[in-house]
Amino acid sequence: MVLLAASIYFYMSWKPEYVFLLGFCTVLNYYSAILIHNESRQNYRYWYLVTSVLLNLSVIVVFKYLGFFTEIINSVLALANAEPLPIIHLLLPVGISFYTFHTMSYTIDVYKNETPVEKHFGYFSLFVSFWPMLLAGPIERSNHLIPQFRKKFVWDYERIMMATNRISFGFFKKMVVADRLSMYVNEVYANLDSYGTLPIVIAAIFFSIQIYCDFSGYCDIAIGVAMIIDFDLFENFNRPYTATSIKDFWSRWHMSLSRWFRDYVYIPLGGNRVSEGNKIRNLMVTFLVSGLWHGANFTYIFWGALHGVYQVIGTYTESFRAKIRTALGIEGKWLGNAQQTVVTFLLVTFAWIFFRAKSFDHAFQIIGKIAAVDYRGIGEVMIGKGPFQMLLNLLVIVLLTAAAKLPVKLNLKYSPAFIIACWAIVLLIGEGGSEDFIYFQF
Amino acid sequence: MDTTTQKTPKDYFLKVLLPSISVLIGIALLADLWVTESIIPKAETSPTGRVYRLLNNSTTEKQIPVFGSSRARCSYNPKFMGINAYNYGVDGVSLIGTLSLARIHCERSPDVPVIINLDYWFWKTIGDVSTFVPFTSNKHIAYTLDSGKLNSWHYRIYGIRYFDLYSEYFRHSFKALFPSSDSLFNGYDYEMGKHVPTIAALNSSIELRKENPFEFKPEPAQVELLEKLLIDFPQTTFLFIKAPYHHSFLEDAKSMNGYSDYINQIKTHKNVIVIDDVNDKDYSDSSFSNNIHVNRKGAKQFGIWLNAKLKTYPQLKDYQTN
Repeated sequence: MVLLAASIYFYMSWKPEYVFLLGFCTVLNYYSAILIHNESRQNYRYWYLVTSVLLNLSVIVVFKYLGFFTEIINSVLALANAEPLPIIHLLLPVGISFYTFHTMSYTIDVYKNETPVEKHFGYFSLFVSFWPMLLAGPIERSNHLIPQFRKKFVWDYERIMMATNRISFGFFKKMVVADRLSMYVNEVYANLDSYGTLPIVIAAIFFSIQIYCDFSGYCDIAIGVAMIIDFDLFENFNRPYTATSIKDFWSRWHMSLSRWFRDYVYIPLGGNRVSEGNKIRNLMVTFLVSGLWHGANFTYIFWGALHGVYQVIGTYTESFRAKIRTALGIEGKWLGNAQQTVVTFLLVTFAWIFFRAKSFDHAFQIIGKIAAVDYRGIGEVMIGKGPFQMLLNLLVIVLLTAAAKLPVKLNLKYSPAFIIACWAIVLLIGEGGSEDFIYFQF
Repeated sequence: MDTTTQKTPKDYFLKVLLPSISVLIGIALLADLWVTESIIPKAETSPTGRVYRLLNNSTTEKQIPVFGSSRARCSYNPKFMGINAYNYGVDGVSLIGTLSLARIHCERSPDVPVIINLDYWFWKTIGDVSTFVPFTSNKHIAYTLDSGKLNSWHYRIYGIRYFDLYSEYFRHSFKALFPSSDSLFNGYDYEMGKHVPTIAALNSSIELRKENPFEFKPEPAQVELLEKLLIDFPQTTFLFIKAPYHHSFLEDAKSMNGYSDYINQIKTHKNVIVIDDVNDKDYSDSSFSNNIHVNRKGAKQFGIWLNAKLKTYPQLKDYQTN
């Protein structure tokens, strides 16, 4: 009860009226699941599920995509010289994409008899609104989280230490790395005319690091906070930029969302157990939906599509590429892995350009500037507040890499020294949190 | 059965949390002390260093202070002005901030003339807050922070007051390691905050102004503060000088009669000298970083022009250097 009250208060502290939306999703899925569970006739069960999913989706469509879809309809109407529809822009309720996915997956799992129905309204409400994960995930599953609400809190020194470290490192990632790099990225992306190729390439690479530290930093804090109160949330990241292929990248990046799309979009479409053509279709549909999930803009859809294309091409050229690596004598060796990691990172970074850009025009302007090889002198990369700022940017990337490579033997990541180091760095070179978490907008 | 000692919540608080917090507090206080006592006093070319110098310069050397925003900082090079002056220009500081700094000087040395750069417009922001945070105990500085609605409670707490600001102090300290004798002189610093190409920055600022022609709108509260300063220090000679703007700045400008009224009002005070007849058209594009800031070349041209002007004022005789 205390946790539920805290979660609702936490959500209401942003915009109180949107708690009704959270309440609607909770009640809708709670009763849908009970109806499905109690119903023995399969066709009734099916229609209860369809109604529930459609209502869940309608919540997202109205609050997240209404303006976007109206604009598309208006562009079609314009072709027919018809009157455009009024565009209504509603304030996007924070966390809507996350909690609707929590609840939908629960109802679908109950339908598929993969999870028991939760009859305790309090526990179910807490599953929907559990505050550490409410705003930006990780996207949980009922059969993983709900049973944890029933267990008693147990004091565990190791767990608390690990949680404190995790939270500290999360703040380091967000306030030291992500927010610092964002200053460079924001400046370059907002003033493309003023910059040549090199600063734009650096900004694109910095954005890759920024978005990783921003989102994984948030997840570290969320998982750490939950861990302190003895809850285990899904991991969302596993060193994604060490991936050796796009497929590998998606098994390491925003893992809870990737699993969701795999289980509720890709596999229901047929997954891998279909013809080659349908497999490509399934992949592309999954990535397009994933792109749309991120935001109501064609740039996000294109970003998703680009990853789909990467993965399709990657899958069908895998053996050919392996042959080349074998011929070069680097297959299975450090150099071969490094080559694959670098190529994957560059492909992901290229796709992030569309994710970060305001529009297609903006994205293609960035790509055009990179392709034009507009070299204006090395001094120009020192944007913002000069060479010192650039040195700090590089320093924080080195610190981030060093932290990731701390020898496990030293056990430093689970020691008070690590906590002190994180917070001392936050104090000395951290930014004041003027940047919201990027994934809060989804 | 495992008989190793089980660590309790008490262990966690006493052996981890408390020592960690204590060490962190120690680090925070040491960092604060280091920046306050070592970094800021040595970074004289930084905005914070300038304010530090203004507050702590107890030498009897007679030096005319130049106050204003970044326009002052990058326009007034005492080397060319022919007078013993020190440039206290602070980027982004409003007239309120400028007047507060001038007041600090006047309270200590009312007999020394003061130069205040004339800006065409009135804004309320005070630039980078890091400039003022170390000096919040000074009532004029606190007033400046209040005017920008930036006087946060935590700026009074040692150890955390510089959070989010350290990198700014370190940056200036880093810059001081590589002094450039021709670009830094008695507080003068021609560099712009952004390292963007000059031509692009100039063109984009000109374009922006074309799209939004300038309108002169005095801020009554700021004008009142200025009047108060002039009245409170009748023995101080105030020189209001207009540094050059790019000639495009005033194209299609509105309400410029208001500017004349404003200047005439200032001129009614006997302790005031106004030098606002610099001809913007004498300054070519190559003299500007953008449409409101001259570059090193522009500052030199302006300094030489000003030198001749200042020689005509007997009040400044004691401060002439060439």
